[in-house]
Amino acid sequence: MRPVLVAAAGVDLSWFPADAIGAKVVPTDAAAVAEIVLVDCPDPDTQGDAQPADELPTQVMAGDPGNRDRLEQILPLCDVLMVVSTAQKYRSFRVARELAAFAPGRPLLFVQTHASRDPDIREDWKQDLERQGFVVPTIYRVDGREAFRQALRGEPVDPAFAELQAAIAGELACRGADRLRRSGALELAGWFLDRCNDRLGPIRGPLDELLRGVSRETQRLEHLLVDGIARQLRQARLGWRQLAGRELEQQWQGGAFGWFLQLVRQVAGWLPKGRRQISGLVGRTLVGQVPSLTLAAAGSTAADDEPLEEALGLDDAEVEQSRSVLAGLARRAAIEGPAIHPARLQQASEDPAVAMALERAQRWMTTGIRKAASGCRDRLDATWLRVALEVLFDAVLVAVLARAAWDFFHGRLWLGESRGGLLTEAIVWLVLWGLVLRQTAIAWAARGLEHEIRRLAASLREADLVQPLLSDVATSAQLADGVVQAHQRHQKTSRRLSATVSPSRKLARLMQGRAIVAGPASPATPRSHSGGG
Amino acid sequence: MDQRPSTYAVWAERVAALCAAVEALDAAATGIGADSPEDAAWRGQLFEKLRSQVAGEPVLVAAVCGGTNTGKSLIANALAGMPLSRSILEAARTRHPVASIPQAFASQADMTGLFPGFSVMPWTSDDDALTDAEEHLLFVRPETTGRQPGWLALLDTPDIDGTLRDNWARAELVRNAADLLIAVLTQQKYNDAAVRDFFQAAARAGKTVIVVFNMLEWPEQRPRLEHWLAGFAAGTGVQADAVFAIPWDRQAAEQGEPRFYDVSEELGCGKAFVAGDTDPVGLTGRQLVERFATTNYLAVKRDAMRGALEVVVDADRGVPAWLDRIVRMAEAWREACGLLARRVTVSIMLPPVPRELVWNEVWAWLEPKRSGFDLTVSRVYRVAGRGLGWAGRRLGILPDQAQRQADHAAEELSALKAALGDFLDQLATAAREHPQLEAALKAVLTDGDRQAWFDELARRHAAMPLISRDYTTFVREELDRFERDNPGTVRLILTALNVGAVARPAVTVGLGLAGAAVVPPAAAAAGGLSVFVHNIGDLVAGAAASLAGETALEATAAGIKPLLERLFAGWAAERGDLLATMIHEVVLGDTLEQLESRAGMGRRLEIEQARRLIAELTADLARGETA
Repeated sequence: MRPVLVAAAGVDLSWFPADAIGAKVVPTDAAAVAEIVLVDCPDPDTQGDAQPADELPTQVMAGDPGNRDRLEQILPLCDVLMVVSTAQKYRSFRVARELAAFAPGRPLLFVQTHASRDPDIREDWKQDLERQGFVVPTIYRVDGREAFRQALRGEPVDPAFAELQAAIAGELACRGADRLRRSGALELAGWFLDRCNDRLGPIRGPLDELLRGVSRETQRLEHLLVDGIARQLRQARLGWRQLAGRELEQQWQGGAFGWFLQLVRQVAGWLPKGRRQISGLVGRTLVGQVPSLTLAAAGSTAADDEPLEEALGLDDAEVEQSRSVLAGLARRAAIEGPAIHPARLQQASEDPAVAMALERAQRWMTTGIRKAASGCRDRLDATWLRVALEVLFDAVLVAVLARAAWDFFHGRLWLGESRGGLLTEAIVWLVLWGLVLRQTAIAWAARGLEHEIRRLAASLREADLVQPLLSDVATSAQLADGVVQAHQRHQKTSRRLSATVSPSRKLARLMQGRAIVAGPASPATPRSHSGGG
Repeated sequence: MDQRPSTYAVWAERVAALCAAVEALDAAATGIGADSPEDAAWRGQLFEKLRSQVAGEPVLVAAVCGGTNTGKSLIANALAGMPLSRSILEAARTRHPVASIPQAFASQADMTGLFPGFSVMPWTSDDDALTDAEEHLLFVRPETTGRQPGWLALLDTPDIDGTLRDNWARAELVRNAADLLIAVLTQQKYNDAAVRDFFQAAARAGKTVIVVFNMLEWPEQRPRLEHWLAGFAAGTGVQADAVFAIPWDRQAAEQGEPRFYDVSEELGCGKAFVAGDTDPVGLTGRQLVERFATTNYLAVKRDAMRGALEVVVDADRGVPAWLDRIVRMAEAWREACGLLARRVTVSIMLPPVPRELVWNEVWAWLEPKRSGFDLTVSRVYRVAGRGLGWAGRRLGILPDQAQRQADHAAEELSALKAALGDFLDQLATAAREHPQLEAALKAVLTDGDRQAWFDELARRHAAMPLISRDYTTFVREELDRFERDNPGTVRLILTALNVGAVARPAVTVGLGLAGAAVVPPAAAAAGGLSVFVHNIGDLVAGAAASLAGETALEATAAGIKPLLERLFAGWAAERGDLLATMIHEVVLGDTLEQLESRAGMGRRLEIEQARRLIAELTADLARGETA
């Protein structure tokens, strides 16, 4: 059937694709359509589901191929749908399905026609519509053909038809039209949000579980990281001692003890270096090496295999376990790659963002350890310590020199005694005494090691270093949660606004939050939208 | 009129075998996604028509079908000459079919077999059909007047286009079982897509169709019938065997006596199935049924059975197409399995094997075979070794053995965890690449509790001893076999051990921590333990060479190296087996078995059997064995 558009002369119809859908446009000066544009639509139930219009039997569909295709183009342009049916068709599944697709946001007028011949099925129809999710205040029952004849004869139409005309005039014209559009828009928004709810609802629980999982795994890794760092710090006693010794030698300038320390450093420089390798970020930082800040440094097999173990003392497998657990939870919340990187850390680190985040974490670690080293330096910088050590060393030095002078001037020159070996012996004792003092100073500096370790460990937790390792999952979960929260906000707003709009007492509408029963049960419908009327 | 007995009974055995083959394949075919909506047609004809009717007494099943509120119940009641289901104003109220069955037939026949898919109930009132029940019910009312032919079962059916989908299903079950359909059409419904779809399936199955145009403005609409019938035929493929027209007459409808006007001749229906004189005032329902009695119902029945079989054996839409789809889908599953095999491999980077544990086992096996002198020297070394070990640990030079084992266990668990995470990653990647895998692995990747898996892995690992009884048995069996196969070599080793007892370091370096002998400083300086683990056979051979001579040790090296490699590999394999078992039992469950079963679906014997039966039935059809 060819669609027919009836409108007052002079109305702008440029929005209606009459040519594209082969519609006939009929201008009129009838009062009934003075303020509305009326479109007589084709049947929705003569075109099969999987049957394209060009494959329809020509004899059957001659002149009106693809009725539903046309309907699909017309109905989105409509504000109100007037559904006209008969006793034979009001229970049609296909009509109900097309209605379901286009009812949201569009008030409806239900009309039973063929009144002079068909039984009155309005009560049954109403119940069926309510079962499908419609609120139906009134179903009109008219005989269209008889009304048309009466109109042609210039006779007054029968009361039932007049009632329909009045409803159209009252609800669709002037302010009624504005109200309809407003309520229609709100209803459409509400329907859309309800549909979103259908999709978001099932993932809400898994998403909460994912967010809890991110928090749980972050805490678990933080705990392991703190343990790992603390373990590395404790194991790096040699590094701490070297650091303290280095600080001592660098800071203690001037004075006899300073001179002694420089001498020791020079002598130590001549000795062959130990073979013991100091590994790990902590150890290398403590001994003054600049640690590699990239995860998989070329030629570093250990770093390649276990970048985090090497860098932070955190077992890579533990991180991968957390990532894998979270990847599973993310899948359950319908969040998958590429938002979620592989659980395997080496693969994950190929992602620039993750690699950069890890590099930042390492930089922070380096800074933290240097701060710890600074604490060591501060302890060595204590004035009382410097004075005490200088005095203790100088006192022995003075005593040795005084004794040597006494032996020389008094014993040898004055008394003529000949004593040998004292100076050599004194120098040995002096060196030993200096070394004891040096070790005492280093021990003093290292005395705060446990405190430094605890302080550093506590600050690691505050620094949120683990977050970059799980950032892809955490970010995705937070984004998804943001969408869910936003949806809930919009739904509340929509319901609040809908409550302020009083629904029409004549027109039917889709019940808020109700799904249409007939719609989704369609068998293998290949089209995304379809129309009916 | 053809009154020969039906011969389609010869298909019975093959149809039964085909049904069995299809049923055997069904669950698995559904599992591999080989089902298609198109299968409904041949399934209906195979299970609801052929299986139930091919072997029984020939009875003509005639069903009144049509859209909502087109007057089906009115027509069915009129044809039956008694109320079957109440005709009411509201649409889609007939929820269940009602059959009028001749008394004699009803008492003999298996109604459930005749109408598969239904629970057959005795008719009690014309409200039975309106019962609101989810179960598919079929009410049987025996016909006692004797006016209905003894071979005719007449049914009223629910609608085929309403909002209640159960009604469609019931109507389709009746259609599949029927031989003759009485299609009730109206001006509003003859061109509806749902109506077309329903009768199109009937036409494909070769069913005889009588068209009844109801609610006509009579005779004003009479000229339009030709156009409507042509449209219906073009849309469905139905070539009506007879056409009747029922004028719209409220009074006749209320009295349950619609008049049937035979318009078959003027609409050019070929066979005029229900032949007879055209009555100017139309026929009553009973008169129409009396005409049925004169017709060759066996020919109609044979056509319907033949049509049903043609649907079943149709290469493009029948069982062969379904079998082809199964093979194709199985092939796709085989590809999926191939992808899994290529992409998903568990790589376990286990820490170096704690050699002393393996050597302890070897040494325990060797100990009874060694000489007293060697054992005495070893005991001395053992005592000395313990002392040195104690001193080394006190000085912090040698690590504590328990601590080393704990560290090793931690490293090993770490490696196993990494491998499990890697395995799940690879599984997810493969699933992303193959949609079938995505669905098959959903239970693992999405629904699985990964935290529980990692916990279970840790639990199993903690419960696993460093040296299991199985491994001890394995070592002894390997060594026993080695001794049987190489008695000379073992003697050579023992000789080397005895000769080298004084120079213990060279041979016992690997056994040091087993307590058999101490690890002398010289041995450690020469490479010691850290090298040993990587070149274990070489080291033993090299160490013994200086004692026993190059020639003698060539054989030793050749025999011992693979043996030791096997022993160490066996230990590592046992650790790897822990993960493999865990993945199999806890993570995957029976997923792999299911995948393999799906991949092997295309080679099931039932497929070949079904193809053979189809070929035989097709040959039967070609030979016209039903004629």
